[in-house]
Amino acid sequence: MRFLWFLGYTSFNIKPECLSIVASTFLRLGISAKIKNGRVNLSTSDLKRLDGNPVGEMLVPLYRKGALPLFMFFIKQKFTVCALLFTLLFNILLSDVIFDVRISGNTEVPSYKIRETLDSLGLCVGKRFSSVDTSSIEVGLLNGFDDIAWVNINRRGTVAYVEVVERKGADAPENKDSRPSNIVAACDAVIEEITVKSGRAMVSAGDVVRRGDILISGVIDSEGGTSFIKAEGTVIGSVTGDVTSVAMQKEEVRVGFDTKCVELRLNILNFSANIFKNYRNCEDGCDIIVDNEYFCTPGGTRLPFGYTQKLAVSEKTVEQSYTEAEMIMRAYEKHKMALDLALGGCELVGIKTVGTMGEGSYTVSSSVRYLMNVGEERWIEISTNK
Amino acid sequence: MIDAKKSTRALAIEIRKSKARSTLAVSGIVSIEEFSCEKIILTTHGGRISVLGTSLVLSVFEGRAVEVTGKITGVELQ
Repeated sequence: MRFLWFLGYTSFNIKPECLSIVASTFLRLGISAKIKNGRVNLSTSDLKRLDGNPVGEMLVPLYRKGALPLFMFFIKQKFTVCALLFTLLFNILLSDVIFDVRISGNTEVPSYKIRETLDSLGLCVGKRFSSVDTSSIEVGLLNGFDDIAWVNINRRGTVAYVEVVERKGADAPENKDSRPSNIVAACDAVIEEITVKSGRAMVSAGDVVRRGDILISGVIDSEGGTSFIKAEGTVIGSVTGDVTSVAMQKEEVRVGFDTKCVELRLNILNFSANIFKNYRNCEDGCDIIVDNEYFCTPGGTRLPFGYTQKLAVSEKTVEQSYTEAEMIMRAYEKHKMALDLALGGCELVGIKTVGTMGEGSYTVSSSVRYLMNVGEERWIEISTNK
Repeated sequence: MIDAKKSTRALAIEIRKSKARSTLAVSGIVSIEEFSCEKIILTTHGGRISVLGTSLVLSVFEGRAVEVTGKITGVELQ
């Protein structure tokens, strides 16, 4: 009964005095029908069941609807046809456009560098697949990076997948260099530990070495004579040094006093449309803050729409005065940063810090002792002159 | 009253009521004795069901089931 619109039906009028007889007959014959205001719609198969039944004479046919009348109704509408054609054309055109470029397989080479190279070679979002020559891009990418051994560009739907295989192990260019070398001391130190992979150890733990002393030698004397190899190993030494930081009571500092939106871009999926850009009143070298914002649903789900605004920060130089307590705090903050910079991840063994109050300044100096790899490689130059 | 024990066929009545209209679904119907927009009398093996209301619409389904929709004001089981 519910599919009459699609299968076609005939509408009949039933005389009021025959309503109960017709309904009972439908019930007996198992015909599904809806009788409303003395009218009933019957399908062709229902009419076949009523063949030869006297009830058929009580039904007065009104009109008949053909198969799929609803579909035909929409087809007759011009705008529907136009919309369908437009959608089809739009889909065909968009299916040839690159919506995203996904890079995989790289661990050493940064993705942004590969993406920049791909952009310069013509594979970027918004380009048409038909206008891109993937073979030449693959060759261009291989030529652009020594660390990349193999590249393959695939297309799946509207996404370009760039698969990269990097050089590893023996193929790595840095490993190809096997020139004979020594490992020498990079600075004055006391040797704490020495591990030799190849070569001959020239020092042992507890030795005091000066900068330039040979720690692991690449010159080996054997029965066949002297041979030169690449010295490899790790030499950990204890190094002492001084770190000093000074904080002034009055300092000139640059402070940001105003931010101005200089660029606004609208982001939809991977597309970015420039709304406006104005760097005219922007100072050279001023700080630019990039702010990416995405619209979210009330539930917190991020939508693929958003905007990017770039804010130029205007700065000015002002003289800042500090109290003695503030000055000392600043001196220690500076000193902490200086220590982090000087140690650079080395293991700190000992530290002695002294703070000195001067005329309008506070000086913090530390004597530090730390462990670091003191060995550095130095090539052996073999002279052939006799 | 309908005597369900005497009935040879399963009888089921379901009534769904809303503000605009109500629906009365009955199975195990033998025949429709009277049918108009105001009154429908259904005959079952156990007795008769009179449905009173306005703008009543009768839908007949396979398996001797009917559905009466419209503004149902009363149902009498005799």
